Amino acid sequence: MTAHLSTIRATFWREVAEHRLNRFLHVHLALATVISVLPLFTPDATERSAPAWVLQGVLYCLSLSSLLLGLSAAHGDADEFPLLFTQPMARGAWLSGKVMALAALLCPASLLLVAPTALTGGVSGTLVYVAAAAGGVCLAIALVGLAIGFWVRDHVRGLLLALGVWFGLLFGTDLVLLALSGAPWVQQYPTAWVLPLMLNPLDALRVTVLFGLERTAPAGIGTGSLVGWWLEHGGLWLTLMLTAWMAAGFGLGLVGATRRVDG
Amino acid sequence: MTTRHRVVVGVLVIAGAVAAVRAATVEHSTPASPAEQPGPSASADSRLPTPDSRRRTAWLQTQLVTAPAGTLITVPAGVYHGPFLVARSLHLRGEPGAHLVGDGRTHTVAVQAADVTLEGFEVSGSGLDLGKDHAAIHVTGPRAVIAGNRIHDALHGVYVRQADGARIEGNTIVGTETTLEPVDPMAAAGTPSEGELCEVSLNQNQRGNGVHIWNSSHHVVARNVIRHTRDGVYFSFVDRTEVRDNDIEGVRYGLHYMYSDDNRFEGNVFRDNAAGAAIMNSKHLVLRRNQFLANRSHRAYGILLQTVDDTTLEENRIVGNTIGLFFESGHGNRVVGNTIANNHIGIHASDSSDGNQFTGNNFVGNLHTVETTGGNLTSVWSVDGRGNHWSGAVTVDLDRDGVADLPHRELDLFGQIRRDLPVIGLLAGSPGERLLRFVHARIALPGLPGVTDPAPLVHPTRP
Amino acid sequence: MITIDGLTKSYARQRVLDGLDLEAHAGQVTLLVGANGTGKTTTLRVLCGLSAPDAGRIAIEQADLVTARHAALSRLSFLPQSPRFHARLTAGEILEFYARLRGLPATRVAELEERWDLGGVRAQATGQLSGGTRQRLALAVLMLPHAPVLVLDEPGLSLDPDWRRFLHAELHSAARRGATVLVATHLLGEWEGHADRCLVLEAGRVARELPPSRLREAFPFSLPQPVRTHAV
Repeated sequence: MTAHLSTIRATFWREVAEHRLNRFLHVHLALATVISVLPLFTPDATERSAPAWVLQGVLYCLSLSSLLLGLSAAHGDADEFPLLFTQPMARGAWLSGKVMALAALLCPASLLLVAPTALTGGVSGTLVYVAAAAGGVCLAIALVGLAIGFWVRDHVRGLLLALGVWFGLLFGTDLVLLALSGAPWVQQYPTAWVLPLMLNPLDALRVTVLFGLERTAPAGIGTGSLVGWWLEHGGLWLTLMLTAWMAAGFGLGLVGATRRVDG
Repeated sequence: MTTRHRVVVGVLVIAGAVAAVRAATVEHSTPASPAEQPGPSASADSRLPTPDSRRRTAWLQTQLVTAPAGTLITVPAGVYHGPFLVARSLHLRGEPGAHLVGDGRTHTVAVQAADVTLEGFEVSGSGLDLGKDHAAIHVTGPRAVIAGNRIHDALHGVYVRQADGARIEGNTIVGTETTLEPVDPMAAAGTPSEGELCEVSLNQNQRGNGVHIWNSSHHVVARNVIRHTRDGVYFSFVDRTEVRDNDIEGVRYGLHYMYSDDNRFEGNVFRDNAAGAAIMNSKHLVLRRNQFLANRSHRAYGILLQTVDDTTLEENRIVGNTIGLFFESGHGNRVVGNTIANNHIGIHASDSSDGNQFTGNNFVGNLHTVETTGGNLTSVWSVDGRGNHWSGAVTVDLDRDGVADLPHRELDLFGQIRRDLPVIGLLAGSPGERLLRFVHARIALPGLPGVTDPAPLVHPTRP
Repeated sequence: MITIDGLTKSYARQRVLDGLDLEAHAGQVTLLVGANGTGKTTTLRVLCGLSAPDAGRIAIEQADLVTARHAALSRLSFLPQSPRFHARLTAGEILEFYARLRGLPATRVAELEERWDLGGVRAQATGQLSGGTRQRLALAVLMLPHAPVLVLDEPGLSLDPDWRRFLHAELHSAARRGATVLVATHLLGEWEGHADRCLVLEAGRVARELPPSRLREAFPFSLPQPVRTHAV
């Protein structure tokens, strides 16, 4: 246990040091800063507009920078695997240290997203909720990037795959579901149609913020059992789903890091 | 109470009433002496009469039946136990703290005479029987003025029935959210004591309306504040009426309105209502500078217009609703200079509507701007070369006249699929949907429903 | 001590190690030599737990690599061929990380920095280090834990002659303290007189053992003659 803790501690600080000069982290922080001040330009509705800005920012910018941050975290270490993995440490503990460091970097960035609004208008439950959701999504996506990086060690191919995954998560799910929406069997089983939306972290975030936090009522969507439950318990679902994504990203990353160290 | 006691109380009441009648003048009636004057002391529970309140009530009841028409009766502070029937043309003015309490079985105040004014009272305790239209103030006499009253714990607030020319102004009406019912209805014989009652919440459909007007005309409903009733303002067969500067929040329909023509709505705020505002089967209306805000339940509307013809919607703000503006079977309406913003669906326009004009409106930040029913919409989206402002539209304006040089196509991507797969609404505002919309704005994708604004405005219009 | 019994490893149906048996003893510098493709690097990678064997058993100081992996690896320190580090980390951060990982004090880091002359590049990102300096950094990492088993893959690459001599001396010194040192190399010349044993790898197994004085006999084949061109 002590050995695991010292591995986690050593890896955590190493990862933090690695990202000190990581341009993806700098871009991520810069984007978060820009997004955080945008609500101040609508002074009469700063607090109300903050969730919308954060949502758009996470969907279109921070999800990508998080993914690339995770990818670079994997690629940066991949060359050193022959040295790293001959150390007396559990790879799970090593990966835990990396993930904790990523969380320690991404979560403050998410707080930064709502900081100006909170400073000017006070902390509210909505702002805390939005920041937590944004941080969770960014971390989950970063772990996806980490897993991609461990599986595809070539930097260019890894980057292309990561971009493909991001496009798929951002646009692909929506477009495929739109394309399928006219099919009679889909209309017969709307729950099956909704599941990919629920399982996609970006769509789940969007639906949770739009229909949960911003209380935009989902006009005409109806209250089928699953959709109704989802809209009612968006935060709970987002938490569970992001936890599952993080666990999957961690697991895939671990397997990816373990495989073919010998090239 | 023994017979002897009853006699004593009866003598006291009659003596008080006689003294009050003597003191009253034709022009201005108030209790004469401090001894006779009902004191400000209300009992802790205003439902239960006290000797003081009985004396006050007797005085007021006597005034109502004896004061000549045209008398101004100033009613001092204190609780008065009704019900009260106003069958003469009186002006009843409540001093601060004057509280008219009904018996929970009928209207608290029934205004039957013409030209009655009721102002400045706290009114409560009507019956709760929807079948009998119980109301705090029930008006059947023409030209009633109901002003500056505070109404609560009643079924309907103000109910006007077949009486023209009422003025309902500056009242505060708070709906009944809970009621007291016997713990054991079978066991409670007669009037249950306080310990035998429990508080039961009334759902919105069991409550009455803030202002309910039926089958009459020429009213003014202005500056009222209405909260937590069933509907805020309910009109049925009401013509040539003005509704302005009311503030209605937390009700079912802020405005529930049908079979009523030639009316004017101006400067009202309808906010956070479960179903929004609904106007049905009416014509020749003007809705101007109203605000329809944050009506957000699953089937809420900023404004629902169903079978409404020749109506003008001008410079209204329709913001943050489930469906901003819902049009069905509407003909010849003018929708001008409204701001339709941040709704889930900006405007729903069915193909059963035609000949409507949309110009100078601002469509801003709606998750799904235009929803159609898939057919051809024959409405006009620009008048005299001026269309509407659409946020996110591609606007090229080489001649800088404020009107874009290219038409704007507002896509309704979901079209008819919405009927078979309602959950597709979850994709509204999604990146995938926006991507297709982005492409469609530049290259018209064939076969997709939507509307085309031939002269989109580059800048939003300011009311 | 390193004990390898019947080690077999294939990549894409090609058998690289074919029942390899090997013993490297404490107090000795053992060379593992062989031509390109004979399985030197694969042997070391399997030995260090980077790659799982198809068959066979490996014990490091009596600790089985499969069943007691952590114990085995805690007794081993490995230098990969052409080691590379995270390009954004400084030399000092690299040493501190591996020291923390092994639970070593900061004084040990300072000691190694001084011994391998890394003080001047302590704050320099490893991506900016020359090949030789990077190799010295990797050797410092190797030497950090006082491991009883040292495994090195072509350690002399990128080092200038002085540092090579220093390396030989360090390894001998470690062996004299009781360490088992196994070095895979094909640069036989530089190891003459610096090894205690020499095992020759051919076709995925140890084919023979040579006396350290006859290292050059490890490769008996002759290189093809250069093609001569004639003017027409």
